[in-house]
Amino acid sequence: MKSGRGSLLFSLLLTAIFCVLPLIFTSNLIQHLLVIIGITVILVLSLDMILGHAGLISLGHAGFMGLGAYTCVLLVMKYKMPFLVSLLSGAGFAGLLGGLIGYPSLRLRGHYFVIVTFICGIIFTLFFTNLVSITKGPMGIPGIPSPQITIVPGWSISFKSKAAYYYLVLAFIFLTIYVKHQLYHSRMGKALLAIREDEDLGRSLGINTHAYKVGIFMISTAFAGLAGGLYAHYIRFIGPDSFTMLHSFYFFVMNLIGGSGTIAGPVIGALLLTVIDELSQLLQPALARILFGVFLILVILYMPKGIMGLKTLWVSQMKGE
Amino acid sequence: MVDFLVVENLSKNFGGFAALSAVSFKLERGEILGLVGPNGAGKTTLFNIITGFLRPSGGSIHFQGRDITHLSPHEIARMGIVRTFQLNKIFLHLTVEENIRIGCYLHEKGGPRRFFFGAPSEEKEYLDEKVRKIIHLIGFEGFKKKMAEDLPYGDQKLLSIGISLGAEPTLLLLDEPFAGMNPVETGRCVSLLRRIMEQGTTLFLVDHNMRAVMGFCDRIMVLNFGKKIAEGKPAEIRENPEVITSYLGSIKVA
Repeated sequence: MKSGRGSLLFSLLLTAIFCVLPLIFTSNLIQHLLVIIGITVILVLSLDMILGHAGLISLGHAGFMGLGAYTCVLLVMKYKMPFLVSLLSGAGFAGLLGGLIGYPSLRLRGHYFVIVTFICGIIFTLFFTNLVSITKGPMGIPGIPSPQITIVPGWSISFKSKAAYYYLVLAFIFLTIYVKHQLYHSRMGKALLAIREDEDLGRSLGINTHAYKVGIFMISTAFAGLAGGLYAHYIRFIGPDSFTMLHSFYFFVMNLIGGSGTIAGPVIGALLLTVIDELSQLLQPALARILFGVFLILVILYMPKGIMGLKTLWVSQMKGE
Repeated sequence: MVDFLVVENLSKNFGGFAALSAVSFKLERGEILGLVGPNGAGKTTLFNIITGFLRPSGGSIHFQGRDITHLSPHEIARMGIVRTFQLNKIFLHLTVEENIRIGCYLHEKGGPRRFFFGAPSEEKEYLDEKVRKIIHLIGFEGFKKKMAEDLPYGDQKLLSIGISLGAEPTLLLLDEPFAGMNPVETGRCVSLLRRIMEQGTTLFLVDHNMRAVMGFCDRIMVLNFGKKIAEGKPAEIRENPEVITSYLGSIKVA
């Protein structure tokens, strides 16, 4: 994480650009892409909280996304609760379940935890498919309304247009980045660094590694749930097939390719691969899967730190190290 | 006066194998206790149990009057007992400074205020000073920004001791601190440990380097096959027939 005035200026410039994007690109396709990329960015940033910060691999993240999505949608449609309350409840529920699942499974050695998350993802899909009375099963839930947020009684904002939805998502992206950045510089961030680098050494220095692992896992799954709720109210249809193991794997690959342990990495990874995925839906759907695979191999062989790793390498070579 | 460290009847079984059998000893505050024994005698097992990384099958451990037998490693560290590892552990991908800074974790304050507004500047200054003092103590001023993985092995071992100092241990357990060191490095390490001892930390170390251990420790304890077979001053241990036998095997007289 860079510090310094140049970097701050750069970040402000980027922020300004992101804010005006939908005004520049008014085509339906690009605005749709912007929203989808935005939601995916939140997801990959949340995954990076455990992958990049704590060094834990989760292959079940889409399951928590689905948990947040279904919870939010059900609260809005069945119980007529306000959108923001439902959205945050979905996130909270996903976080809570992350805690329940994480508490026992994070006591296991790294490899076993990955397997547990993988199985979790599958179990969530089974729940979404089979709890028909709650989730309407394989048919999914159609007709999800666009969000309406009431600022003051009598004045509410409707997010029907793609551009408006983009700004909603952008606000939550800023929230996610803020939380991730603050976490990194907090005492928890130091503890997670120790956990990532050498957990037993951390324990011998007084760090309650288990508590921190569960904590960051809960925060990560909560943000995944948040992204799920945003997704549901944008696409306006969700089903068990929206949150599969394949999606979990995609997010993981995006994180790796962009570069874990940074903020720019997940953004770049999400951006690049979402564009490839969405565009290839139009041309040749199988193309996306092939390209993902190729990218993954390239990353493993040549750039284990992802694109951000390449950038760091390039910078240090520029400096003549 | 409350005893410093009291280990009573400590046992550890792995299935049918008795790694430790009824080991009892006391450690006085301020002394340097050495633990020796052939490979497989149970020395690291004993360390792992005292520091909470392993659960004992029986027995108890009391530190400054408190029962620490079943505490977890981080709780024991917070009570003032820190250990180093036989297979040297440092944060390889961080600099020397950053390594020691993480060692000072127990002196960082967390909480919501820290989350939103960052650490108070007094704390930053306090920690910076602490890190500076430790770097000076281990003699690493010249390369505090060097990556830990780029240090030679002997320096990496000194670094791991430096990291543990960040936690301000009252009792420091060192698992083979001299292993893999040449005589010069061993001498540096012994000097460092002496300085640490002079600052008030009690030392309990395991090593195979008999010369270093005999020359440095006040008392020595010998383990073999999980049992304590001797305990006393270095001179006494050197003459003890059972100790000699355990290292050399029994001497057959034809």
